[in-house]
Amino acid sequence: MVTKAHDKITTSQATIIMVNYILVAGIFSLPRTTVQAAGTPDVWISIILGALCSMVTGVIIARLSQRFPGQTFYQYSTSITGKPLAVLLGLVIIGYFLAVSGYELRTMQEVTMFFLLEGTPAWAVAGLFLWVALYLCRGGINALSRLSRLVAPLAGTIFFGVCLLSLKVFDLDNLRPVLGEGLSPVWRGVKPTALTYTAGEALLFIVAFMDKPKRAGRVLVIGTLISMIFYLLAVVLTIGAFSVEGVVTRTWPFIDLIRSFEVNLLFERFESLLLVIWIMQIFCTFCISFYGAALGVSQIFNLKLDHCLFLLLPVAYLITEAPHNINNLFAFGTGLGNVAIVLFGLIPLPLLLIAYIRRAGS
Amino acid sequence: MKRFILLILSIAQIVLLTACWSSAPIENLNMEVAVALDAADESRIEEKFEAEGGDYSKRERISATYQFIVPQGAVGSKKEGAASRNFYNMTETGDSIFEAIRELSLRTNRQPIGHHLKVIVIGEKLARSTKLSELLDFFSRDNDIRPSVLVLVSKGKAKDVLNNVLPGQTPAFVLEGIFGNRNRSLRIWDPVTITKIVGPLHSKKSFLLQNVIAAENEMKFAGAGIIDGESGKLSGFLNEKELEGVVWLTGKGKGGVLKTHKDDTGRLITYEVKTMVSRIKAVVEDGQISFNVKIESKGRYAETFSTDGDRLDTAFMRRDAVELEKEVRELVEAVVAKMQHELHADVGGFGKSLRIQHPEVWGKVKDHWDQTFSGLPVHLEVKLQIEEYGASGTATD
Repeated sequence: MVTKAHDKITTSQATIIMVNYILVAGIFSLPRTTVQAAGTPDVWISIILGALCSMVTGVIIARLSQRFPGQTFYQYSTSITGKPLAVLLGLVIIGYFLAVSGYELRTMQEVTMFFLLEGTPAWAVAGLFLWVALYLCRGGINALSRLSRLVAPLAGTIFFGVCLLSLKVFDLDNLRPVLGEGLSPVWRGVKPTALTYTAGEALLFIVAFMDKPKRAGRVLVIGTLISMIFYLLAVVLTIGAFSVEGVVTRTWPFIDLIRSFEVNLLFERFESLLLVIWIMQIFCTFCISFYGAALGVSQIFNLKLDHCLFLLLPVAYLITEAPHNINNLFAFGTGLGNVAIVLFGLIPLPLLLIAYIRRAGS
Repeated sequence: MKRFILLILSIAQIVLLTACWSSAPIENLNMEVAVALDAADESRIEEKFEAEGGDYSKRERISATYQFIVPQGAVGSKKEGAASRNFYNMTETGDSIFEAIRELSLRTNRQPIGHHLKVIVIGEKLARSTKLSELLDFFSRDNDIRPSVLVLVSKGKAKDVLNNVLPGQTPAFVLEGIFGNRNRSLRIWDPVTITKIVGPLHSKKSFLLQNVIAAENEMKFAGAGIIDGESGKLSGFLNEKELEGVVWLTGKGKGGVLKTHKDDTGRLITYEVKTMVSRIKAVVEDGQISFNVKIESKGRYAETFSTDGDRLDTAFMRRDAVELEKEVRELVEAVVAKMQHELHADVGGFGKSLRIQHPEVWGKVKDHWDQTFSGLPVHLEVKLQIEEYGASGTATD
């Protein structure tokens, strides 16, 4: 099968892959989407709760995958639900992975074309991205983990640096009062975090590559916690600068936050720097979900992974260009979040129970 | 053969995929550094253009004056003496700010770019008649223009502010730079950028914008303009002294002068503010809202005019501090009275305190806060502490 002997990753490699998979383009609009839903500055609590929810569902998926060491979901689901249902479920998940990669790429495209490369045609931005992604994915999970390891520290450093500078426009009063309207707005703010957090699905195939699959749960929890810090900072600082009323008027509030100050430190403006590293970050997410989709096709239909990658590339591009305006894109994102809640929040638990009852797996 | 094809492909890749797609050499760009928005008033040049047939369909509402930097490269190396200016202004009149700047493309070959826009100055006449959100919509939406752009108002014509400056300086940078003097004067308001404006505009809160005026070839920060939350338009001005009152009230000062004449002798005392803190406490008793303001400051004697040459002992310093406290109290009371009875706008952060300290009460009154606020009692407590007297330990002989 595709899982070659040398294609194993360590626990820390898996964690970094998880972090890179969880950190997505959603950070650009997260402050707005959560505040729109909640209407109070307390959404930072929603961000924490969102992380916890995602951990709970993620751990179930981790448990499920641990029962079948060395196997991906596409392979082991047959022994839980039987062939026809397993193929159907596999196809839905492949579709989801593809949709996520398309959505990420499109968001990246929108943001870069607006703030960074005005005048560069969309196909040129997407094309380069897709070809490099293809090249990387052909290298397998180890190539992905290497890229993630390369990008993560860089992204972290620049992100935290930029956040520190944005304290210039921060006003704590915009975040107060805490829980002024009680807990109900906080709950409303949790749902929009779904798309930015959903992480468990990557475990459906990553656990199969881990040299110590027993640690899948730890990988998920640590990965989610690290990502949570990024999201938390972005949301808190953005609301601190713009206030709740201001955040909702901004299309990409987090980028506007970085555009809100000028500091004379080597550079004067930092949004291009942030965008550049965040494009790499989105690239990682794209590659991981794209790889997950291709792996699924290859394992369900017994095709060579390389062929599947080539096969799915145009599909990913079509999904990328499908939303014809920005509202479609945002609706697409919300829809994806809803699908994720059903697909990875509700389904894994019954699957785990069936596997347990049927004594499938170890 | 295979190697040859590979080579051709690689070269094609390098040619097609590298370099910046939409780069433009800096000499071909017009860097906008400031914009002045005024009620329609066509410039002489525009009138002449129109007489020659250079006109387009528009309702004349806004005159937008753009200040551009002359790129160093475009001027060449020849020095034309101190009289040469490193900026120039162009005015376009119309109803759309965006169309106005695109109309400039008919007058110059250099494309205007907004990446380096620093300030927007809005003239009184326009600000009183048009909603600020309409005037700033283009600037907060455009991708070139950053939310860090400062917004000011001008009692008078905003255009004149951009004209008047000392040789060798650019008005846009002078305006931006004056905000750096906040540790020197208590009569400069917080620099308000688009970032800080979108929230209040969207939630219909009143706020202040620094006012700048022009005379001869200079400009001056003179008080502040009040943007009324309900109407979103300019509704009045605070003069320098009133602005100083607001600065004390909000504790936003970073340093400056406080001056008073002693009641009995008429002796002048000046106090240099080192620190300033203010706390507004919202009190709700039986549904009745009131505010307790506590202002504290530490500083030093800057001047202590006196004819006796007294030793500046503790009792002496305390007596002077009381005088100064009285002055602060007068400043703040005057401006609170003006906010409540004349302007009907809360720009001192009372609403913010209520929102944070009593969110449930705020929910009930926030819709017509400015009106509600006008009738609420405000109690003041001022505490000044003179810490030192500089290098001279006595009052002046």
